[in-house]
Amino acid sequence: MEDLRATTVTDDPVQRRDLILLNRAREGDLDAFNDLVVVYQDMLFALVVRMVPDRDQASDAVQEAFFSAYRNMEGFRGGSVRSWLSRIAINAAMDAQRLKKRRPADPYPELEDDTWQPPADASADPVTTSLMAERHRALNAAMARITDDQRTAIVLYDVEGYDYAEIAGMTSVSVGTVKSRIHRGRLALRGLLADRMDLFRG
Amino acid sequence: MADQDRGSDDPRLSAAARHALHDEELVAAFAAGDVDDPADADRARSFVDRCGMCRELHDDLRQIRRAVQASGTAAQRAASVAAPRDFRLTAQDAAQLRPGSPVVRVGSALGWRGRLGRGVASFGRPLGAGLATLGIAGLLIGSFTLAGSPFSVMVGGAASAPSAPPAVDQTVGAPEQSERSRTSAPGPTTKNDGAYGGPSTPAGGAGVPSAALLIGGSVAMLVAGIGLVIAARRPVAPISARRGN
Repeated sequence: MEDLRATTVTDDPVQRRDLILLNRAREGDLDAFNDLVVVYQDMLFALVVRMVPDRDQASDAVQEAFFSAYRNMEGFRGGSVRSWLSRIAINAAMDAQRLKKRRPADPYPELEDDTWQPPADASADPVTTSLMAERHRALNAAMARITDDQRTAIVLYDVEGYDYAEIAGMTSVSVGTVKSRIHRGRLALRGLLADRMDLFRG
Repeated sequence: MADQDRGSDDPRLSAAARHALHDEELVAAFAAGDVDDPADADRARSFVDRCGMCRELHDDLRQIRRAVQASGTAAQRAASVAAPRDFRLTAQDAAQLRPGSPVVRVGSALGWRGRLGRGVASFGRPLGAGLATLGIAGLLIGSFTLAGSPFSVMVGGAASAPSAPPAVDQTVGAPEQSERSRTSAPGPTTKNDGAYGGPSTPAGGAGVPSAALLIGGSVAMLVAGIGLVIAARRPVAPISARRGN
């Protein structure tokens, strides 16, 4: 009999699979937990590396997130396992940012090996595809240079779709501060992209 | 003079000077649709309507936001970009991170009894603490019953207990010696008899075994309580600073 304690019955097969794996992991099945790791490690890395644009630090943060998730499996109170893991990863990323603040070193390197490109329209001509790739590179470089707080707020709001209140909860600041970070972050991006804005206009 | 006139008449320069007085963060909030106060919204709108640089800023911020939004969610990016290493946990990691109590480990190994084990582990700690507290209390009460003070049990009481029978034997076997010890000036032996044999001999005949039982039971409870607390503990191991798999 599956122990579906503290979980919500859902029709979503992905969520059902995740809940079953998590419950088996809570019973002591390490393979079940590692199945969850395999399913979500790429997604969590992609999330964290946007907040901590250094591949090594991002990797460490993701590893810490999985450690934390394993240690706190009993704390899962139902809902989406993916959201639960994402929040743990976001916390781990913010811890990594704080660690970097305490040990100031070089600014984040640009992710030159970021091979992901926004999906181009099938009918897009090579010029458009090239323009999109160039825009993506310029934006990534600028994102790596704004403050950690601004980048986190922008990634969570604009990219991942969390609302202001959720971000405020995750980052332990007020909604007003979240908005301010987002607005100032966009202004900073615009300043950094001042001579590349032609890539974005029109 | 002519240059100065041309400069002051330069519409771009005056626009820049005017723009420097405008609140760019308000324009950014307006571009994001985040201005709740109607007065602020009117002010922002007037900036955008009347100042070309504010208008350009407003439009640029919107373009940047669109570009960021189109940069791909983590789920989209994960479909084509793999994590640089495998984050699966080893058995060693698991043991270090979530060792559980011995009860839980044994229970987990026995399948469904793992849940029972977790239950025992969850109430074992307070139960153990309670038992230990009762044991200590019993030990104190037993000590007072036996000797009037816990210290005398440790120092005098414990030492005098085995010496009591020989004292009785001496009384039986050598009455004059016993008589002498009762009448002689206070000395170590007499003092000892007074402290131990005096109050407890007549009434303590039943008190000594019951106090001893109480002490024995208390010690057992104390040991059991401490053992239960140790068995139910779930230490949080520090995260190992693992680098690379």
